[in-house]
Amino acid sequence: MGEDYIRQVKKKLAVSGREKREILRDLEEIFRSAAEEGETEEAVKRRLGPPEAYVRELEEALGEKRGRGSLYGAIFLAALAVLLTGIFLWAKALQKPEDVIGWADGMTDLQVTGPSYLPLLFPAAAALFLAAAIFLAVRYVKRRKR
Amino acid sequence: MDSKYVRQFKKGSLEMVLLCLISRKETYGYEILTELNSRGAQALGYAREGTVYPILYRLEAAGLIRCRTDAQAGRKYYSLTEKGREVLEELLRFWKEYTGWVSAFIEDCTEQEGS
Repeated sequence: MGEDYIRQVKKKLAVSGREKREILRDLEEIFRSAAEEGETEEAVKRRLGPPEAYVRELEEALGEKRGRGSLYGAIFLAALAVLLTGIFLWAKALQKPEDVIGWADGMTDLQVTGPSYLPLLFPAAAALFLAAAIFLAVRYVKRRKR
Repeated sequence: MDSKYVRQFKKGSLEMVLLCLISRKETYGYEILTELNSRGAQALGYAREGTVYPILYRLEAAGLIRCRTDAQAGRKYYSLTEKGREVLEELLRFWKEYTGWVSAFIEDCTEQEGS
Protein backbone atom coordinates (compact mmCIF):
# COMPACT_ATOMS: atom_id res chain seq x y z
CA MET A 1 0.00 0.00 0.00
CA GLY A 2 1.28 3.38 -1.00
CA GLU A 3 4.82 2.14 -1.67
CA ASP A 4 5.43 4.70 -4.40
CA TYR A 5 4.23 7.50 -2.12
CA ILE A 6 6.44 6.32 0.75
CA ARG A 7 9.41 6.07 -1.62
CA GLN A 8 8.87 9.67 -2.75
CA VAL A 9 8.73 10.90 0.84
CA LYS A 10 11.86 8.91 1.69
CA LYS A 11 13.74 10.55 -1.16
CA LYS A 12 12.73 14.12 -0.34
CA LEU A 13 12.70 14.13 3.45
CA ALA A 14 15.68 15.90 5.04
CA VAL A 15 15.54 14.99 8.73
CA SER A 16 17.71 12.83 10.97
CA GLY A 17 17.91 9.09 10.29
CA ARG A 18 15.95 8.16 13.39
CA GLU A 19 13.15 10.62 12.61
CA LYS A 20 13.04 9.43 9.03
CA ARG A 21 12.62 5.78 10.05
CA GLU A 22 9.74 6.74 12.36
CA ILE A 23 8.02 8.81 9.70
CA LEU A 24 8.26 6.08 7.06
CA ARG A 25 7.02 3.47 9.53
CA ASP A 26 4.07 5.72 10.41
CA LEU A 27 3.25 6.23 6.73
CA GLU A 28 2.96 2.48 6.33
CA GLU A 29 0.59 2.43 9.28
CA ILE A 30 -1.42 5.31 7.78
CA PHE A 31 -2.01 3.38 4.54
CA ARG A 32 -2.64 0.08 6.34
CA SER A 33 -5.10 1.49 8.90
CA ALA A 34 -7.03 3.28 6.20
CA ALA A 35 -7.22 0.09 4.14
CA GLU A 36 -8.52 -1.80 7.18
CA GLU A 37 -11.32 0.75 7.43
CA GLY A 38 -12.15 0.30 3.78
CA GLU A 39 -10.54 3.44 2.44
CA THR A 40 -8.85 3.25 -0.95
CA GLU A 41 -5.20 4.08 -1.45
CA GLU A 42 -6.27 6.98 -3.67
CA ALA A 43 -8.38 8.50 -0.91
CA VAL A 44 -5.46 8.41 1.52
CA LYS A 45 -3.15 9.99 -1.05
CA ARG A 46 -5.67 12.73 -1.72
CA ARG A 47 -5.85 13.49 1.98
CA LEU A 48 -2.07 13.44 2.42
CA GLY A 49 -1.57 15.70 -0.56
CA PRO A 50 1.47 15.46 -2.86
CA PRO A 51 4.57 13.91 -1.20
CA GLU A 52 6.32 17.31 -1.37
CA ALA A 53 3.54 18.91 0.66
CA TYR A 54 3.63 16.20 3.31
CA VAL A 55 7.42 16.46 3.52
CA ARG A 56 7.17 20.22 3.95
CA GLU A 57 4.64 19.90 6.76
CA LEU A 58 6.89 17.43 8.56
CA GLU A 59 10.05 19.45 8.10
CA GLU A 60 8.32 22.58 9.32
CA ALA A 61 7.37 20.81 12.53
CA LEU A 62 10.65 19.00 13.08
CA GLY A 63 13.03 21.50 11.56
CA GLU A 64 12.50 24.39 13.95
CA LYS A 65 15.16 23.39 16.42
CA ARG A 66 17.62 22.16 13.84
CA GLY A 67 17.15 25.32 11.73
CA ARG A 68 18.13 27.42 14.71
CA GLY A 69 21.06 25.07 15.34
CA SER A 70 22.57 25.75 11.93
CA LEU A 71 22.26 29.50 12.56
CA TYR A 72 24.19 29.19 15.84
CA GLY A 73 26.70 26.94 14.06
CA ALA A 74 27.20 29.59 11.37
CA ILE A 75 27.77 32.33 13.95
CA PHE A 76 30.20 30.16 15.91
CA LEU A 77 32.23 29.21 12.83
CA ALA A 78 32.33 32.78 11.56
CA ALA A 79 33.60 33.96 14.96
CA LEU A 80 36.23 31.23 14.92
CA ALA A 81 37.38 32.31 11.44
CA VAL A 82 37.68 35.93 12.57
CA LEU A 83 39.60 34.86 15.66
CA LEU A 84 42.03 32.73 13.65
CA THR A 85 42.61 35.53 11.16
CA GLY A 86 43.19 37.91 14.06
CA ILE A 87 45.75 35.62 15.68
CA PHE A 88 47.44 35.11 12.33
CA LEU A 89 47.74 38.83 11.59
CA TRP A 90 48.87 39.59 15.11
CA ALA A 91 51.53 36.88 15.01
CA LYS A 92 52.67 38.11 11.63
CA ALA A 93 53.01 41.68 12.85
CA LEU A 94 55.13 40.57 15.80
CA GLN A 95 57.21 38.11 13.87
CA LYS A 96 60.68 39.31 12.97
CA PRO A 97 63.53 37.18 11.92
CA GLU A 98 65.79 36.40 14.85
CA ASP A 99 69.05 38.29 15.29
CA VAL A 100 67.67 41.38 13.64
CA ILE A 101 69.14 44.37 15.26
CA GLY A 102 66.41 46.52 16.71
CA TRP A 103 63.22 46.54 14.63
CA ALA A 104 64.92 47.18 11.36
CA ASP A 105 62.58 47.14 8.41
CA GLY A 106 65.21 46.96 5.78
CA MET A 107 66.31 43.92 3.87
CA THR A 108 68.65 41.47 5.55
CA ASP A 109 70.29 38.45 4.15
CA LEU A 110 68.91 36.33 6.98
CA GLN A 111 66.81 33.40 5.96
CA VAL A 112 63.68 32.50 7.90
CA THR A 113 64.09 28.91 8.90
CA GLY A 114 61.51 26.34 9.91
CA PRO A 115 58.72 24.70 7.96
CA SER A 116 57.11 27.15 5.57
CA TYR A 117 53.67 25.52 5.46
CA LEU A 118 52.93 26.25 9.13
CA PRO A 119 52.04 29.95 8.75
CA LEU A 120 49.61 28.95 6.00
CA LEU A 121 47.69 26.68 8.35
CA PHE A 122 45.87 29.51 10.13
CA PRO A 123 44.49 31.35 7.10
CA ALA A 124 43.60 28.03 5.48
CA ALA A 125 41.65 26.92 8.55
CA ALA A 126 40.02 30.35 8.78
CA ALA A 127 38.92 30.14 5.15
CA LEU A 128 37.53 26.68 5.72
CA PHE A 129 35.53 27.76 8.77
CA LEU A 130 34.24 30.79 6.91
CA ALA A 131 33.09 28.62 4.00
CA ALA A 132 31.30 26.28 6.41
CA ALA A 133 29.69 29.25 8.15
CA ILE A 134 28.40 30.61 4.84
CA PHE A 135 27.06 27.18 3.90
CA LEU A 136 25.13 26.88 7.17
CA ALA A 137 23.83 30.43 6.95
CA VAL A 138 22.56 29.91 3.40
CA ARG A 139 20.84 26.67 4.45
CA TYR A 140 19.22 28.43 7.38
CA VAL A 141 17.88 31.26 5.21
CA LYS A 142 16.57 28.79 2.63
CA ARG A 143 14.72 26.82 5.29
CA ARG A 144 13.19 29.97 6.74
CA LYS A 145 11.88 31.03 3.34
CA ARG A 146 9.77 27.93 2.85
CA MET B 1 -9.95 27.42 2.37
CA ASP B 2 -9.53 29.49 5.49
CA SER B 3 -7.34 32.53 5.56
CA LYS B 4 -3.81 32.30 6.91
CA TYR B 5 -4.91 33.81 10.22
CA VAL B 6 -7.66 31.29 10.86
CA ARG B 7 -5.30 28.44 9.96
CA GLN B 8 -2.68 29.65 12.44
CA PHE B 9 -5.30 29.79 15.14
CA LYS B 10 -6.46 26.27 14.44
CA LYS B 11 -2.93 24.94 14.46
CA GLY B 12 -2.30 26.43 17.87
CA SER B 13 -5.40 24.97 19.44
CA LEU B 14 -4.96 21.58 17.77
CA GLU B 15 -2.01 20.80 20.04
CA MET B 16 -4.23 21.20 23.08
CA VAL B 17 -7.05 19.20 21.47
CA LEU B 18 -4.65 16.34 20.70
CA LEU B 19 -3.29 16.31 24.25
CA CYS B 20 -6.87 16.24 25.50
CA LEU B 21 -7.79 13.36 23.22
CA ILE B 22 -4.72 11.31 24.16
CA SER B 23 -5.26 11.99 27.87
CA ARG B 24 -8.59 10.16 27.85
CA LYS B 25 -7.17 6.86 26.67
CA GLU B 26 -4.25 5.31 24.84
CA THR B 27 -4.96 5.83 21.16
CA TYR B 28 -3.40 5.49 17.69
CA GLY B 29 -3.13 7.63 14.57
CA TYR B 30 -6.16 6.58 12.61
CA GLU B 31 -8.38 6.60 15.69
CA ILE B 32 -7.26 10.16 16.44
CA LEU B 33 -8.17 11.23 12.91
CA THR B 34 -11.63 9.65 12.94
CA GLU B 35 -12.33 11.00 16.42
CA LEU B 36 -11.39 14.51 15.34
CA ASN B 37 -13.45 14.28 12.18
CA SER B 38 -16.53 12.86 13.85
CA ARG B 39 -16.56 15.51 16.56
CA GLY B 40 -14.86 18.68 15.48
CA ALA B 41 -14.69 18.72 11.71
CA GLN B 42 -16.75 21.89 11.42
CA ALA B 43 -14.77 23.90 13.92
CA LEU B 44 -11.26 22.61 13.29
CA GLY B 45 -11.58 21.68 9.65
CA TYR B 46 -11.22 18.21 8.22
CA ALA B 47 -8.33 16.52 10.05
CA ARG B 48 -5.56 15.17 7.86
CA GLU B 49 -2.47 13.11 8.61
CA GLY B 50 -0.44 16.04 7.31
CA THR B 51 -1.61 18.23 10.17
CA VAL B 52 -1.91 15.61 12.93
CA TYR B 53 1.35 13.66 12.57
CA PRO B 54 3.72 16.66 12.62
CA ILE B 55 2.08 17.75 15.87
CA LEU B 56 2.40 14.24 17.30
CA TYR B 57 6.12 14.27 16.47
CA ARG B 58 6.54 17.64 18.10
CA LEU B 59 4.66 16.64 21.23
CA GLU B 60 6.76 13.48 21.49
CA ALA B 61 10.01 15.38 21.01
CA ALA B 62 8.92 17.76 23.76
CA GLY B 63 8.32 14.81 26.08
CA LEU B 64 4.58 15.48 26.44
CA ILE B 65 3.46 12.18 24.91
CA ARG B 66 5.11 8.79 24.60
CA CYS B 67 4.41 6.00 22.18
CA ARG B 68 4.47 2.24 22.30
CA THR B 69 4.57 0.08 19.20
CA ASP B 70 2.26 -2.89 19.08
CA ALA B 71 4.07 -5.09 16.59
CA GLN B 72 1.16 -7.47 16.24
CA ALA B 73 -1.38 -4.79 15.36
CA GLY B 74 1.30 -2.82 13.52
CA ARG B 75 0.22 0.28 15.36
CA LYS B 76 1.81 2.97 17.45
CA TYR B 77 -0.18 3.81 20.58
CA TYR B 78 0.16 7.22 22.14
CA SER B 79 -0.28 8.14 25.79
CA LEU B 80 0.38 11.20 27.92
CA THR B 81 3.53 11.50 30.03
CA GLU B 82 3.50 13.07 33.47
CA LYS B 83 4.88 16.26 31.96
CA GLY B 84 2.18 16.13 29.27
CA ARG B 85 -0.52 15.91 31.92
CA GLU B 86 0.88 18.94 33.72
CA VAL B 87 1.10 20.95 30.51
CA LEU B 88 -2.44 19.99 29.52
CA GLU B 89 -3.80 21.10 32.91
CA GLU B 90 -1.97 24.38 32.54
CA LEU B 91 -3.29 24.88 29.01
CA LEU B 92 -6.87 24.10 29.99
CA ARG B 93 -6.73 26.52 32.92
CA PHE B 94 -5.32 29.18 30.66
CA TRP B 95 -7.82 28.48 27.86
CA LYS B 96 -10.83 29.00 30.12
CA GLU B 97 -9.57 32.32 31.40
CA TYR B 98 -8.40 33.37 27.98
CA THR B 99 -11.62 32.63 26.07
CA GLY B 100 -13.67 34.36 28.77
CA TRP B 101 -11.51 37.43 28.56
CA VAL B 102 -11.36 37.51 24.74
CA SER B 103 -15.13 36.97 24.41
CA ALA B 104 -15.82 39.87 26.74
CA PHE B 105 -13.36 42.00 24.86
CA ILE B 106 -14.65 41.31 21.35
CA GLU B 107 -18.24 41.77 22.45
CA ASP B 108 -17.54 45.50 22.75
CA CYS B 109 -15.90 45.38 19.37
CA THR B 110 -18.81 43.72 17.55
CA GLU B 111 -21.32 46.04 19.24
CA GLN B 112 -19.46 49.04 17.90
CA GLU B 113 -19.28 47.59 14.43
CA GLY B 114 -22.98 46.80 14.47
CA SER B 115 -24.04 50.31 15.45
